Amino acid sequence: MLLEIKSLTKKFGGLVAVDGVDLEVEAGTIMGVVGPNGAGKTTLFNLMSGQLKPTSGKIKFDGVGIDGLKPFRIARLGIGRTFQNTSLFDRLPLTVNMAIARRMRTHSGFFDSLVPIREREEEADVARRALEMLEFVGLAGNAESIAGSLPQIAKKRLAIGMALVGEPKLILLDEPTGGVGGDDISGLIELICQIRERGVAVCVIEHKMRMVMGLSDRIVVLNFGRKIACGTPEEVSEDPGVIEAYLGSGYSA
Amino acid sequence: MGYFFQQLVNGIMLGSVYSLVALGLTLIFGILGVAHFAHGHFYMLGAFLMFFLSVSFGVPYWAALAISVAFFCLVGVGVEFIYRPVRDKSDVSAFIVAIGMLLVIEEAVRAVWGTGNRRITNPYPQVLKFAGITLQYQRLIIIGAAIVLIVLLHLFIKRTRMGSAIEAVAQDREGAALVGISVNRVSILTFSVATGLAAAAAGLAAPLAFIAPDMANTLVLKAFVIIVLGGLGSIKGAILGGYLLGVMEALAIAYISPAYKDVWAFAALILILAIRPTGLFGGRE
Amino acid sequence: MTAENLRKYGVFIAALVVACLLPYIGISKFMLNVIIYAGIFSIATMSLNIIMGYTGQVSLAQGAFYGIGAYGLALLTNKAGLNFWVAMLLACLITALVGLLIGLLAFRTRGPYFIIVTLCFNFIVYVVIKNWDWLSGGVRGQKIAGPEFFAGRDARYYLVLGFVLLALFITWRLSRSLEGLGFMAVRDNEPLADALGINITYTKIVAFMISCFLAGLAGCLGALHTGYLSPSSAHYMLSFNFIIYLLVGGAGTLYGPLVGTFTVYLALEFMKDIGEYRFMIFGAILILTVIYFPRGIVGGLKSLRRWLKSFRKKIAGNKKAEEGA
Ligand SMILES: Nc1ncnc2c1ncn2[C@@H]1O[C@H](COP(=O)(O)OP(=O)(O)OP(=O)(O)O)[C@@H](O)[C@H]1O
Ligand SMILES: [Mg+2]
Repeated sequence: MLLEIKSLTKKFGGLVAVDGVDLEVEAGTIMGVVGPNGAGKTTLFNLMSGQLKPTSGKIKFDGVGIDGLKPFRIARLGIGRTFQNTSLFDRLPLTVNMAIARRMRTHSGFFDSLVPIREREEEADVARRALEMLEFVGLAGNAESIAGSLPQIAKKRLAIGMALVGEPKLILLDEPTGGVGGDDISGLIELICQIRERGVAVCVIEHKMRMVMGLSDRIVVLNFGRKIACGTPEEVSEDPGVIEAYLGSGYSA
Repeated sequence: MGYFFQQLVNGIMLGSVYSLVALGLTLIFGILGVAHFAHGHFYMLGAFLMFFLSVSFGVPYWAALAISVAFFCLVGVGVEFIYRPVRDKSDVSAFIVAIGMLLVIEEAVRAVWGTGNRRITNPYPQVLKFAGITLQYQRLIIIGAAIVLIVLLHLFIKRTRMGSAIEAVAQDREGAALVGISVNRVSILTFSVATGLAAAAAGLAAPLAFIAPDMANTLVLKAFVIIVLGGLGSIKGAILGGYLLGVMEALAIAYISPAYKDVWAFAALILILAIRPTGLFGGRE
Repeated sequence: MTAENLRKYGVFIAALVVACLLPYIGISKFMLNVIIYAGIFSIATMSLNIIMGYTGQVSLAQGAFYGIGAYGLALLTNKAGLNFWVAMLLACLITALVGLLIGLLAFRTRGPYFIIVTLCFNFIVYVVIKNWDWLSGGVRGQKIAGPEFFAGRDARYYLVLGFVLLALFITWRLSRSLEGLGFMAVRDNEPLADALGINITYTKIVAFMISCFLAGLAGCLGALHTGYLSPSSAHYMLSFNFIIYLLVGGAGTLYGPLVGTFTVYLALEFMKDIGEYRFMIFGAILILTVIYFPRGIVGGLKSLRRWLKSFRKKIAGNKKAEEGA
């Protein structure tokens, strides 16, 4: 197993946002994470990538315990992520955004910048990979635009590319289709499938049930912080608990 | 023992001034996120106005104090307008505006009154003697008046609609805006109250102080130390912190060394923030 | 040299040539003195630019580091009797080391807390220098003598010019290096940088140490040029000045610190005739700059150029459309 989560719990004061969740993600697969608003999906991601420290429980990634590590350490170990509100370096061009995302795989420090020998090699490599990744996410034509000026869909794609360019083994996508119009969604689905083809595992939070069902290898359903179902799309869609949680809170599949 | 008690009273008096100044600063910072670094300069202006009124015009002490406070409540409104364009920008912008304001004020005062020290006559030069301690009446007046002002502010905030709007915004700006509180009006009110408090502190302390254009330079820094330790935006923290710092400082001057009197507070601040990065009582950023 | 390169570096080369010839074009002693000071302060402002302009951490301790560099040099030459150049290098390294220690404490805080912590540090350094007589000579100050060669004003001018170029070079290399990318990432979006594997605390501390090294360097040069040190060379008012220079010139730009320092410092010198009123005018200008030109002179020019470019493109586009019609 690439990722193993054991009875993970996060409390905010009296509120239990994630409540004893067990979860496993296999390398190279897509795991859909669904649940109503406030179910604890984002919190679960924040625990996995280190933005939050768990109240209790264990997270093992690639054989290493990562619970309680700082985000940058976890990123270096190979978990990339995007944020629900599509966080970017808004004032900088796309190429620079990508280069920053690749920075953790380079070794040049301050003195290399003054005497650029190793630096030149690494810079060339970073530039090449940045362009390659912009191509992969379909933004090669906008390489020199400023990130903040992009339309929403391009921002989403850029954020995904930035999560990928550091060569993670797992990426966490928090609502990659949020705020994106209908036509653009199929493109994003395709992109996510292509990520799996690269051998990268994906965890994706998604509200649109039909989309998750088609995309994911396995799905986990959260409600009030608890895991109420986990399995293949077929198993989950027939689970009575899931149907109730969704119909009960006014959602429709 | 008498010596210690006397130092304690000195500390409480100093603390009264610190509390009043820090209170205004914490309101401004908590509510608007503005590092109003020129706040001390309004204290200084307040002292000069007292000097102007009582020495140049012979206005009686309490009347001069009342005029000064009222005047600076109005000045506060003007200050708010200067800050308004940068209110929602970065920390630095407001800070730089403050520095600009501070330069203008300080040089204006120098131009009018020169750099020398001024004094106003002490309206209550009598001393109270008991148990081997001598206390100037003016010190007791400062302490008493500060308490009265703090209680009045407390009542204003807890008992009036306008006041509770201030507290609501101080605690949660977005939330307050959501429930329909006008941030602009609260902002004006806050600057007005805060500047008035600074003038009151200055007016109270003026009879015992040298009045000079640079009299408030460390005061504002200390007020910042107080509100950072007390938790930005916390009224209780500012009051407690003010008295604590005043007493600590008076005792440090008396028992350790007067040369480094201003240093202890700042060193303590750095150490405490290194351990608790959001202040002693502060939970939020 | 290609035409494009010439256009790109033309202004820089022209300015450099003028700077090199400056002492020989009949400039007054007074003026040269003012320019030397502006050069020294511009190095300090560049030091602030690295931590504030590129890394986004508003340090109000640069005055203290300027003073630590200056007093470090004085101690190492006067008390320890070291060779001047060795002492100067050591003084800068010591300043960077102090920066490391302060950074370890101060970078646990952020935003307004950081500003206040650094300001408090500056205040402490100032008071300690003022009162610790053995170390600093207290308010009497102390003399400092550089190498014979730099006794002349012209020689000191070229020394300062050389170091200004060095500081510019460091900023220039940093701003387009991988290390600099990390700085900008921390400046623009800390949580994202963190999630992308950038060690934020480490990045800030590296930036701070570089910054402190340069501030210390400026302090050394200031001490050498004045030949005399008093506690005012560690005063927190210096920190304010550097921030003002930087903001007027443009934070996070290569030439901003240089342009800002020279503009403000020279303007204040020329306004000396009108006495202390100049600080009032200056304060007012400061407020207006922050409100209406938040990106400073260089940042403003950059925007203007970008705007002109897009404007020209638009006109060209319109023309084409007309021709097509
Ligand atoms: N930092 C925090 N402090 C306090 N409570 C929090 C914090 N973060 C999340 N919560 C609470 O935890 C619960 C779960 O939030 P979370 O953001 O994980 O939900 P979600 O499933 O991602 O919802 P959505 O679909 O709206 O994004 C919510 O009730 C939220 O208010
Ligand atoms: Mg969420």
